[in-house]
Amino acid sequence: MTFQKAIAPMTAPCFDEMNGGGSESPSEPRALYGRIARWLENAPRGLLESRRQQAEMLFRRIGITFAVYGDKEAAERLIPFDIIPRLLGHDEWRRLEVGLIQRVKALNMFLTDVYGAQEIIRAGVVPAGLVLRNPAYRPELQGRRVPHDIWTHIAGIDVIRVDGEDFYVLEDNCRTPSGVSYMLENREMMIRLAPDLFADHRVLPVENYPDALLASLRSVAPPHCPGEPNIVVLTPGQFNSAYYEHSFLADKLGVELVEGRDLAVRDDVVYMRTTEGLKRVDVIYRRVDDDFLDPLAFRADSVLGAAGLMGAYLAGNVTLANAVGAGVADDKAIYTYMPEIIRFYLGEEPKLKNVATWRCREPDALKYVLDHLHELVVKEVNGSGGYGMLVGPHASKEQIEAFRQKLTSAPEGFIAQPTLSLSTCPTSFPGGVAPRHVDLRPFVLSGADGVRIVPGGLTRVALKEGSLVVNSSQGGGTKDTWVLETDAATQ
Amino acid sequence: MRASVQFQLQVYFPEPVRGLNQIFRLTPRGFDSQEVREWRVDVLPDATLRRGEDAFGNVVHSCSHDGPLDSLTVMAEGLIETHDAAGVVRGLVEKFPLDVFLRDAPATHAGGELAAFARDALAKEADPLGRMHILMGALHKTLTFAAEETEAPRPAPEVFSARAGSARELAQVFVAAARDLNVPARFVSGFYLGVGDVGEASPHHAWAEAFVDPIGWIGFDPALGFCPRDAHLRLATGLDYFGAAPRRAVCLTTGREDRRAALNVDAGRQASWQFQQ
Repeated sequence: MTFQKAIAPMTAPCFDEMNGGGSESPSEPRALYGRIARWLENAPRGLLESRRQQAEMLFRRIGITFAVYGDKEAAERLIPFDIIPRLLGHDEWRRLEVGLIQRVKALNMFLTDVYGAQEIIRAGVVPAGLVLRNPAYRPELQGRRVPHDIWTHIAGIDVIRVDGEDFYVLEDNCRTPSGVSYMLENREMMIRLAPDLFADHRVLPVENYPDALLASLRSVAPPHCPGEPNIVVLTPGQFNSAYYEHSFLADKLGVELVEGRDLAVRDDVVYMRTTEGLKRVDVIYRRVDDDFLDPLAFRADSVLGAAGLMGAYLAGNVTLANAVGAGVADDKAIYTYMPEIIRFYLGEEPKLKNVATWRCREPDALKYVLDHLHELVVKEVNGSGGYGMLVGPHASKEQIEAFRQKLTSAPEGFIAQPTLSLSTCPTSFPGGVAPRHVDLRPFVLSGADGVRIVPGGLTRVALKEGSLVVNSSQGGGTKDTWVLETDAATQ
Repeated sequence: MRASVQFQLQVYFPEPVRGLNQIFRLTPRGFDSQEVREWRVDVLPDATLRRGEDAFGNVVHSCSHDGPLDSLTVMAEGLIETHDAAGVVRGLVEKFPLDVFLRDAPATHAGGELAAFARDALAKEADPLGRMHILMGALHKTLTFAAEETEAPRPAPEVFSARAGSARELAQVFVAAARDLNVPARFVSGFYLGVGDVGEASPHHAWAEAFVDPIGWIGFDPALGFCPRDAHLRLATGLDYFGAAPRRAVCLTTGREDRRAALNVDAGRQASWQFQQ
């Protein structure tokens, strides 16, 4: 799973999802969490611990695992699940939802423009080099239109909070965001393990996510597709860290899970091999990176894609979700321009905030960053999964010096952000309950017929005390996210 | 020169292949110093040959063969007229801003040794055009042009360390070095119509183009050591070899292939480089 998060030192006062306020924990929990607080108080000794063990057993039995790259010992690992849910009031969710819709609209318009007329570059809003020299920008797509002008059909927008008011976007994920299977499994797990607590709350459903996804994918079928479009999920295979999710989604969608070798392209039409012969494919929900999609167009050594796929795609005979080249919009350097991008295309003020970011490509910013390395989070512009980042307050002198060298030699490859006081949420441990930092990844679906978001998302939690990195590949866990029918202030 | 050009590529598969998909960039486009009177591309066994244009403006043909196939023939032929414009490429529809030609691609990433070499060679020259000529000359002198083509071109730093490479490898080295110097550069694939004179085993040739302000795009041929003249028939351009390759092919069954290529040039009059000598 490629999740990236920046985060806050425990020393800073931070907003607690349950208790609110700052470092001094008030005796009264927020109204939203009243029932959770009472449940935690009244829980018999050992209940949380036994639920945790049951959860682990269930996850293992179902086989929800992910692979950690570069870790031979733990080729298949469970993402720890925390039994205490993270709650959002309906009013909080509505605020977030309108912001997400606005943001994803702007991302799609940005992509349509960048691969089209490039007005935003000509207007001088985003530097040409940042787009055109971006590794995620695909010159092959220049001047092409994708079906229904939708580029990022499935977006995962990582948001955090530092107080009860604002949501900050930490990162946009426009390529192949993963984690939605955990959102769905976590909900099932909660209903099984804490049915009383669940029944006590009026939680909005997330179970319709596969239906929403299917409807979105259907809506973007090539315009001349006759009848019901044939949809498939394309996976790189079982060695991919998110393979479980690929098979899970195909199963929930009721569509075939295919690998590149199951596809055949003949005269610009994509087919899948079935026991009854070739069957035409109209929409591919692909979880294979651009580089590997088609050995005729991209990396010649790829065996994960299908030769000729790009030809079929450019001929308009198949829809790829997400579109090829969509990654240029979620690049960390482009991220810093998102408020301007939203204003440029929509003429609106951004509803979700951006985290202040120093672009190290700019000399003044670089100077500031080099002077303040010990207090900043420095990220590689093209990195993900929490690899290759420096968390200043937690780094050793050697690590800081190593980053100083990297920054000086190739500043354009990095951005820096302040270490934010990510909000915390009570999390259970063998020894009891303690606050841990959390973020949230809601999934935003864009179809030809509009935007769909199920109320919820994946809440990730940094399990190590004080840790600011919630990435599952870096030892993060997950929680179920409950969006309630009632507002946050309602008991 | 005015010439009738016939290119033929024969491919043999020791083990018959299935599900073959191919793309060809074998159609020259006309510009100020290259006129294409007639041109056609054909493939045997017959297949629906689709003609399109890629984002860089190259004419691309693609086709599918179900197979099983034990051999195939690709033909490209036509009538062209070229003029010696000292390498200057004018009159092409340019589709991209120059930034695109500064992109860092794996095959054209200069690496330390090559970058240092280029900087040393150009230390004394300030004129942008002069710099590119010096770069071409220095690479031509330092790297041995080996006519033998490798299966896939090696990345630029590797070729530079080996001090030898094929035309397309040398072209990628030039592109890498130019981009490292912040000069927009691109890869060009084509035919060298004076085949035989330079001892090339393959009719395919490759060179590079660099953008020199205020003149525009200019060709530089580091393999031969001079700017393209009228014996260079320009076929396609791309960021690196893979974006401009004359043929790319992938089949479902992995199969080795043996290729035999021939180029027939019937020149109406001599190429200028011939009577200059």
